[in-house]
Amino acid sequence: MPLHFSNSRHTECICSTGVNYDANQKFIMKTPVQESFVPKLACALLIALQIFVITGCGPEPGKPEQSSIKLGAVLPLTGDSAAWGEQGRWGIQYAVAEANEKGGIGGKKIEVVYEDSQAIPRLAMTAATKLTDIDKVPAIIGDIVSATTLAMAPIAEQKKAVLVGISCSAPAISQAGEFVFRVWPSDNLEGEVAAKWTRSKGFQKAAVLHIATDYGQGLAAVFKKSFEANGGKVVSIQAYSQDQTDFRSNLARIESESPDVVYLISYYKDAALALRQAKEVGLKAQFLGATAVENDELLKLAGNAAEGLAYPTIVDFDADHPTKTQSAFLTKFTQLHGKKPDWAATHAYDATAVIIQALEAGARSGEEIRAVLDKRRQFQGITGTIKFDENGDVIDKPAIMKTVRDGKFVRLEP
Amino acid sequence: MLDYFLKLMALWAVFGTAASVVAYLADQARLIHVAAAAIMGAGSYTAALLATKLGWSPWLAISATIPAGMLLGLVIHLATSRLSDDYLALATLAIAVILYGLMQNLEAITNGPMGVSNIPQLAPVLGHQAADLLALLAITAVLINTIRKTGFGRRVRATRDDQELADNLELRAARVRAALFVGSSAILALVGGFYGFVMRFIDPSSFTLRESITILAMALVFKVPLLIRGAAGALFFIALPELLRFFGVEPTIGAQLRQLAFAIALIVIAARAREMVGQHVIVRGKAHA
Amino acid sequence: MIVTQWALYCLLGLAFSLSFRVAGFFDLSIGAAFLLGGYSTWWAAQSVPLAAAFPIGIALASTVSILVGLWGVAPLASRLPPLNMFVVTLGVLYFVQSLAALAFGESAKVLRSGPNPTFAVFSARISFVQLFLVAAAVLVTLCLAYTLARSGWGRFARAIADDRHLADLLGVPIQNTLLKTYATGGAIAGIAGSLFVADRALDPAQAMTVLLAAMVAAILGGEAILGAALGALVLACLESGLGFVMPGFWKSTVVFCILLAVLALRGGGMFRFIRRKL
Repeated sequence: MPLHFSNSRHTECICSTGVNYDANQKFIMKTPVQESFVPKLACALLIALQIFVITGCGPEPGKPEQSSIKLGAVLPLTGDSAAWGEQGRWGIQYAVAEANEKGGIGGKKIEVVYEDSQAIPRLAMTAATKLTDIDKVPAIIGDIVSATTLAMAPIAEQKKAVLVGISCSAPAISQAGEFVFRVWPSDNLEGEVAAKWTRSKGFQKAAVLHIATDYGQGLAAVFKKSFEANGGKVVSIQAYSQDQTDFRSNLARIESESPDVVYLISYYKDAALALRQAKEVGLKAQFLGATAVENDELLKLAGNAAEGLAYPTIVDFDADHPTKTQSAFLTKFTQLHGKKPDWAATHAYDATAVIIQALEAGARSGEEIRAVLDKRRQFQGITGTIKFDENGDVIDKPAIMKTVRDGKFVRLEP
Repeated sequence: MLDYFLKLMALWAVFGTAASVVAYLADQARLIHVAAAAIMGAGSYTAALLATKLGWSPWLAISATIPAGMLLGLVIHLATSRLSDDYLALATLAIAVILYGLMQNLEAITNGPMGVSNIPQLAPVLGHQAADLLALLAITAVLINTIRKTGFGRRVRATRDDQELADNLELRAARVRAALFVGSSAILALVGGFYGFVMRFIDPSSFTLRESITILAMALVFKVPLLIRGAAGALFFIALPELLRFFGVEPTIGAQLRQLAFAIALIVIAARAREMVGQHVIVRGKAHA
Repeated sequence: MIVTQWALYCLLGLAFSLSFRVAGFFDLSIGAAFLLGGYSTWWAAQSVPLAAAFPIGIALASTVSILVGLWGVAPLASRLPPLNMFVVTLGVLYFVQSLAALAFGESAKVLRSGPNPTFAVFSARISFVQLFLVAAAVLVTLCLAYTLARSGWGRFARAIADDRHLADLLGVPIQNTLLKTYATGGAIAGIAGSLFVADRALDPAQAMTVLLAAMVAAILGGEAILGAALGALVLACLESGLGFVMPGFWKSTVVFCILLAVLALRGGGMFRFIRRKL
């Protein structure tokens, strides 16, 4: 047993309970620990009791609500994606208010119960269970994120409630179930549009830098397939993890391959950083972005480095050339909330509109709503016509290319 | 409404079991385990992938999580056998990050960020999945409580309290640690496997470092008897967000407030020195050569 | 660029290393000081010109770090074992993170909209901020080396890092030195934060990311306090090199595997022969 303590980290720690130590731990209960046990246990029991009581106090089974039609909505109202969750909620509120103003459904008002998923799959699952089990909603609008939607799908299937996804793009959702629909096209569309545009402009060599999430991964694969099928060549695909802020080594590698177009598949923050750093190191190429970059924050962060960035938007909603209804929507929305509606709001509106139109067609239960959606397959939303295919995915959404010019997002002439 | 309640019970049981294991390690072995969720994830993915990609029957897939967990536990032990206290905690943190990285990036096997969906249903044994899981929770809680009184449990405490003395008495601290890791990882992997069948969809976001820290918090927050410590902590962390659902919508800053409360809780728990990680009489370190 | 990454990891690694080696616990509140530095600089930059924003930001961050150290961390550190301090400082980090999110929002903040001005160095272009970052890292390393080697406080710090028990017996003013250590660590982290917000974009979540990297750098660096500078170099080169061999998202996994390997094999760090000198 060496006497020399060479590492001061393990100095003696004085502990006066030495004398109380007993292998059977009889004395340990004598410490202040004991006093906190009873109230804490009581607390825990109370909480358990509360849940039981509350769940027992829900609407009674078998007796449908007479005064209103309830719908459910699951959104990330707090947490990382809260900004989009908020916009989504505004979109839903707008659609419902609009329908209620017109007299509701057969005289009954529509009421929406909002639940917070915090973009956590487990919470989305419990939210969907609560909505279908306690509030007994026939349909749920949500979520913004794919993972949470996938978590809710089994509940929707089991409880026979229609689930309409707002902006979830993961391909897996196509196979998530009969009751699962979405108003946002699968990644395939965005990737193909980007690839086709790039080829049509004569670009030959593309380098891809994508975020390592399902969104980035999926888009990169689709882009590569489409780009190369059209005669182009993807010289490299690099993935970066979500919290990366320094892209200089990625950009150095891209520079060494001298592509003529660089496809940045990322959210606006990473895209902004990558664009800034690309400009700093002097990398010259046509930059291509994903739909997610269309956000004023991108312009704030990237400044003039964002000039010339091209990206597809798969919304039939061009804020610079709106139709009359869209114009009215824009004005009123901005008046109500002080912000312009973004893609989360418009698509949340669409998802709600689909359900409302099914209700107007006479459907009331989840099964009936699903039948209408399956049969009719075409609905009107704020972004234009919503057409479903047999998997419940939306198809035929026109996509336009946009760019950043003079610090603004403008439509790119073909 | 029974469905909702039962789903919550199932989730509570899953996290309660995990928290019980972590609570035992923290209390009896002074081992702060910051990778509980990651090991759950390993079990989860094992069971889910076997059931979906290889078509194994759900119960068979779940039973595979136990050997998988044990193996993982052995690997973790080999990596950490020379470490103690905070170095050990840091090592488990590293393991959490590594396992998460594997889940997120081994796309060919795990589907990466897309996760594993369409996990089949698990036929319940005791009438309902929640009942099965509550049984598991009860068994685990009783197990860790009983182990305390056994010879093995005493060895665990002895190595915790006075490492040198334990070595001198040839209590084979290394074996004790190995057993702890293998056993805890097996249970965590098993409960992770069940978790996959409760959710029927898993992705790496359920098994981040943050989740592991939350399970640790569950294990430490209430100073109730060890038997119910994990269950109580899990109840708090699982039940509270659900309870809040019935009190209207949180403000958008709800998440930041929650994290604030969580942070304060962590500080308070850890500052209550002796009670946090069991009684230690004297901490005498191993001298470096 | 490797050098920029090195600079960042070096600064934070040294800050972390100070608390770790001298005070003897994993001080995650370095991440909190980092956030403080970044946000106070950003906040200052909204009203005063950039040149003034930096010193103001750093001064603010250092002051808060010192106060928190004085009334929060130090009293706890003197009576809690290192394991508990690990969790306490984790709580402090989360606390500051959520405060920052409440005060400034979750979205990223930059000092300047658009790229920073650059100039050419051989065939590459680097920005002025990168230059400052590297210069700061070099300066801090040198200053710290000098201070540790020559000044009274530095000698006390090294003594405590070596063997606290013995140092106490020999009459080294432990509390005093520890306070100065926390203050220095906090200040260095604040500098790192303010340069980070200038070079890239800062949001509350970044703290954990860069902190974990700093921890790896400090541990890779070995027993010496200044080892973090070397550890940072190894880490930066590793990350860069890995980018060529495998897809970028594997970086953190591999880095932590290496950390685990280092911990497993040593319980200490790689450059043990450097220890005891600095």
